[in-house]
Amino acid sequence: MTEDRNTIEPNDANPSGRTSVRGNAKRKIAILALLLLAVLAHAFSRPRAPKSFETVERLPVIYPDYVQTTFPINLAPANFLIKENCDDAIVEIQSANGRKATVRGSKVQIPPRTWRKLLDDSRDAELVYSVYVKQDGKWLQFQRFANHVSSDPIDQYVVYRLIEPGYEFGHRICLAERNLQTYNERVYMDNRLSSPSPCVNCHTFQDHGTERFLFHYRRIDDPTQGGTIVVDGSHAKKVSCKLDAQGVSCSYPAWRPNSSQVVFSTNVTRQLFHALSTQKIDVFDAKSDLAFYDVQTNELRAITTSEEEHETFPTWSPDGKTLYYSSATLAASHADSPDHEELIKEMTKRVEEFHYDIKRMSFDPQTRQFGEPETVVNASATQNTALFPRISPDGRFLVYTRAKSGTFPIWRPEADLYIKDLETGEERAWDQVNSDDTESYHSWSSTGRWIVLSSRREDGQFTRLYFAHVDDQGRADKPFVLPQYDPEHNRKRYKSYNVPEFIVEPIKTPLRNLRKAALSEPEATKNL
Amino acid sequence: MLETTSLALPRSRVNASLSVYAWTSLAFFFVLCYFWGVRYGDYLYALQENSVFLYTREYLARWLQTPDGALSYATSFLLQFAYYPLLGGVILAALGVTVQLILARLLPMRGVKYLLTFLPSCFYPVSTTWPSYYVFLPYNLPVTFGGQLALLICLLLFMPWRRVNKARVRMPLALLAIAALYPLAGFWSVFFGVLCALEELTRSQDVTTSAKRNARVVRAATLLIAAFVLPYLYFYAVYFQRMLVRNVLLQGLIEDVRYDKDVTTSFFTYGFAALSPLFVWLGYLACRVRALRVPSDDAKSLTRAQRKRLKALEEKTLRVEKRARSSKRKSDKNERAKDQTPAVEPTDNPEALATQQSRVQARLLWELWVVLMACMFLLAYHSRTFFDVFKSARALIRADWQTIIEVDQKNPFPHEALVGLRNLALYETGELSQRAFERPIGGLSAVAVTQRDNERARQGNGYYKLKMALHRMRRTAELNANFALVELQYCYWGQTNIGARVAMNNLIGVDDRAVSFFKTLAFAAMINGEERLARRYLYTLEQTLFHRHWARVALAYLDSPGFYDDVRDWRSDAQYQAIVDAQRARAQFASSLAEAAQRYRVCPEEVERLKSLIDNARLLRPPVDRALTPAIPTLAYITGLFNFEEYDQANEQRQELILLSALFQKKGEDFMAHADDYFARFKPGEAPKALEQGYATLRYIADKKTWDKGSYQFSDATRQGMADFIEFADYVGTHASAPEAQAYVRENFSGQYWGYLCDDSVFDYY
Repeated sequence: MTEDRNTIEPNDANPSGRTSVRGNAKRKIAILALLLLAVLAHAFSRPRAPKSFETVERLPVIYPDYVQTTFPINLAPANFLIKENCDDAIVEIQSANGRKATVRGSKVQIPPRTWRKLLDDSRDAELVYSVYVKQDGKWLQFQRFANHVSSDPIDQYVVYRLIEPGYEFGHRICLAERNLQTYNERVYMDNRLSSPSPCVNCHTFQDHGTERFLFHYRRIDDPTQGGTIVVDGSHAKKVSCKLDAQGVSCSYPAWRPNSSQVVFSTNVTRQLFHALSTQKIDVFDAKSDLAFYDVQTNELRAITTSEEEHETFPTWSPDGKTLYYSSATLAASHADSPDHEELIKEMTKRVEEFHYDIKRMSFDPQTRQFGEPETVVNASATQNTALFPRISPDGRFLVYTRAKSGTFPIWRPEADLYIKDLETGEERAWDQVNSDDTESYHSWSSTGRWIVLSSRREDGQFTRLYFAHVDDQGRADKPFVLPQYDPEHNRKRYKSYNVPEFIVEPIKTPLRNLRKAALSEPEATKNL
Repeated sequence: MLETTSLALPRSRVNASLSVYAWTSLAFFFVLCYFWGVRYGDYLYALQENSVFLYTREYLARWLQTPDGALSYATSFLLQFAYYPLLGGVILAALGVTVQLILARLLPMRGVKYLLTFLPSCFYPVSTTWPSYYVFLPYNLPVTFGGQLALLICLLLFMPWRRVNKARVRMPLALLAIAALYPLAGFWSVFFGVLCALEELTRSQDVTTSAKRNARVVRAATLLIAAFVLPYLYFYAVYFQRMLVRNVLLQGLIEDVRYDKDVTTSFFTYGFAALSPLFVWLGYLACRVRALRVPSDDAKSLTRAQRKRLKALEEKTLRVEKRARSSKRKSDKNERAKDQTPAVEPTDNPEALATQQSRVQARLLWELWVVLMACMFLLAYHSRTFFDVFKSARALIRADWQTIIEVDQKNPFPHEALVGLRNLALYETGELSQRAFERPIGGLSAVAVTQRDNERARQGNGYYKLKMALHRMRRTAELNANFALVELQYCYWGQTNIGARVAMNNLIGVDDRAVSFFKTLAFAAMINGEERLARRYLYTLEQTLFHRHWARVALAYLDSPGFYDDVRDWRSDAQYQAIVDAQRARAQFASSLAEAAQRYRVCPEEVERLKSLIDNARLLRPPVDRALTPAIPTLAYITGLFNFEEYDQANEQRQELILLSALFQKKGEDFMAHADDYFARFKPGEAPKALEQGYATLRYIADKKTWDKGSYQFSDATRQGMADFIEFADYVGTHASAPEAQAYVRENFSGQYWGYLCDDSVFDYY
């Protein structure tokens, strides 16, 4: 017997005796490689739509509802779940020029590159979806549906606040920026960086850019350390915006286009709780007025000071020459009660009396003076309230939120968006956008072709962001919810999306500068 | 490497001694099992209810946002098993004993010093039973489970690391471990680093030259610096947005940092747990230092000063041991005098001496171990109310009303939460109107301080100020149980918006990580008919291991045809009705409750029981909506739950509750406005007893002579009770308003108390 381990002695089964161990090894490797190739081929092979199936004459139930809506050309993949009882599922998406993408499984997650190609192919045309499910061994095809692809791009980013839908306080609040072309969400201000958890809110960006923006940073333990973080380029500072007469901090801001001026409302906000209704909270302002602030000169002055008039939610026209706001008249007997305890008790009986109208005042940039208020939407005449006025970038349309009463429509299930044509005066409920539940805060994109709105249509409690295409006549398409990589993300996230605003570029200010400003000593304003 | 102990015992004696240690550890295991799984089982269950573990990526990702996230994730995983308290107890016991055994191996303490290895595992039971307001929040994760788990991990990493001989391999490994540990376990990376530094500094090899000794010091210093600096580097690079710089070294040690709490009480109580790693460090340091002066070739390389110091330390240690032995010998002598056993005389025989020493040490070990266990049980918080509240809260979740009533009956001073639970249980069993005033009225604080103590403290008496401060510091779970453990009660009383409000506030406070709050929110949504919202919360509960069954029962109920038919539709709100109709059209309802139960593989009886609870709660809902101030109603005396103005629209059951509530609130005028009509419905003596007592008392106050001459004839029991009460009132006379008199009335004439014009401020919490 030789000592060569690479040879085998001849025997009856192997007369030549020349088959080597090395040869066996090579054969094994080849077999393994083939198997691996087969597995990889299977893994990377595209699923195909079943050839034989039965037809079901209804639309499939999918979540989120991405059926017969309009997507922008530059949106991240709109993934969804098929909520039908099934053992398997295949979705085929066909673009206008015949390109097909097929995804297998009830969790439909479309590869981003494939999605972009589909969108490009379907510019101003339709994406057609065919959904197949396997039940009891046979395939069923549901009624096909389509989504329109608009060639109007949407602003690349949307910023919002993430906050728990609490009744009385927030805990983990952050301001985040989300890239609409991807799923990237970046937190640019987190309230965990100071203790106890302060409130961060009311971000506003000048002209949809990030060169200048501001947000509030409220310290609950020490209100003197709270303030407004004003960002100008890479520089950020904290300013204590309070009108001496009231000692109340500035709240809802509106940055005047192309200028260093901001109008705030100053609000003393209180809330009531409902014993029975699905509308669980009512919010009212014990006091609210408007204030004018110049970022460059750090000067702050009151615009309105009436005790009986409550002005809030300011917004500018695109040319910066008109200020729109909501205004209510309510004389309360206990307006000055300590901690507003008596006032709150009084309001429990008068909660339905808070009706805001939308008014406007002209503004002279030279003299910095405001004109006389003029009513634009007389909601109180119909025992309703009109809040959050926002003017489209072309200046033609006013969109606002209408509800029965109160100051915070997010807690009113009947709250809906209304649109008013400022040229013709025509005003109507924006039915294409509204749902049976709350629609509230909203914001126009820089082009005016898209709108983002807060809606609680999913479950009545957790606010989600919806986007709708708007044409130049103010007609809107069916809105769609903010896409997520995991379609179940919205069910798992126990936060509400708040105060959405479009921006065209990411925030470039270093986050450390924001943090440093948030923790710094606030600079007092020069009150005029 | 550390030298073994200097006790040179014969092998047989070594085996015997070892078995003593093994038996001790085994006994400790069972003690811990009993402590957690039985004695504090309900408490452990409450911790579990106020925590959640989800088998999802998002849940993990949320934890990992801050250092110690992985540790807390692992802790939540373990805590979920406390759904079965005995199982949770076994896990905790296993952790505790494993830590103890590793410490025993690491710090080779023998004899009575072996006892010291139990201390860290004893600290945790003591400290976790003292938390205050935060007992219901997952603040306890690091203290109850996480701290021990982290200590275990650190020790498990440390032990093999010590065996690496080459410094150029040891150092990178240590630095890598410190860097890897901080994002996962926070503070425990510092602990690990300090252990490694201690080991490096006191290793007995390679100290033949001064250069090598210096190198050893440099290595130790490097590790120490890395241990403290790396966390800050992480902070500035990664975590600066999500945490406070002052908490960099505390993450993973004291949970309060996660929730920005700055409470002295919890820091004090959690300090016990924080001392444990310190003990390990010091113990290890002591052992390392001691080992260095063991006579060996290596010891020759020590400097003279070092040898002197080591010798002094050894002599001191020997003196301590000698004292312990002599005191033991004295007690043995006394026993021998009783037992007539011949005294064991010291001999010059080394083996006999060793045997004697080992016996003495074993006995001492066992006795001191018993003392240690006794201390553990005594120092752990254990007021009656503490246990009763947890037991009752657990019974509430199961809707086990009889247990709640039994617990209350055995408690001499039922706390406010217990009174609330008792009232709910009595209502659910149909006995509230009969038995509302049977028991002494609670409201006294958990610790026996009196009104007099409080007054003296207010007057500036230093002793009473200290007493009151200590009392306030030990504000335990029961004082905040109303919002912590029993928020579901509001839903049962038909106050679903309040229940949801409290539960949502709590859920926010714990970063969406508590099963009990999800359940309350789901329950409130189901009662309200908010099907989509209920499904959201149930979806989360379905992701858990032990609560998915409850979620499935609820889902079966939502799918059953009765759900929408039973919902109180908002007929005045057309839009909400439209939602309901749309949901009804879209939802895939089962044709029957049984089919729905089958769909989710649950028992139809369970679905029926849930439906019954929901139906009962719906009956109690306010008939009309009204706006309320932020004040939360008091459940103990069903104050604020019922509006007296609704009496005329209410059904009989609700009217009864309104009248009872009027009595609890001492609104005699409101009560009397409808009492005559109410009692006219009953035959003589057949009205509910509690209402009868209140009626009699109020009639007595109105007219002492004719109180029992109205159209309603009181029962004999009420007449007798009133006779005793009148006798007492006549005796006390003008002192009737004194706190002592009121306390007496409250405890002995509880049925009359609520009609009696008493000042409730004497029973304020403080």
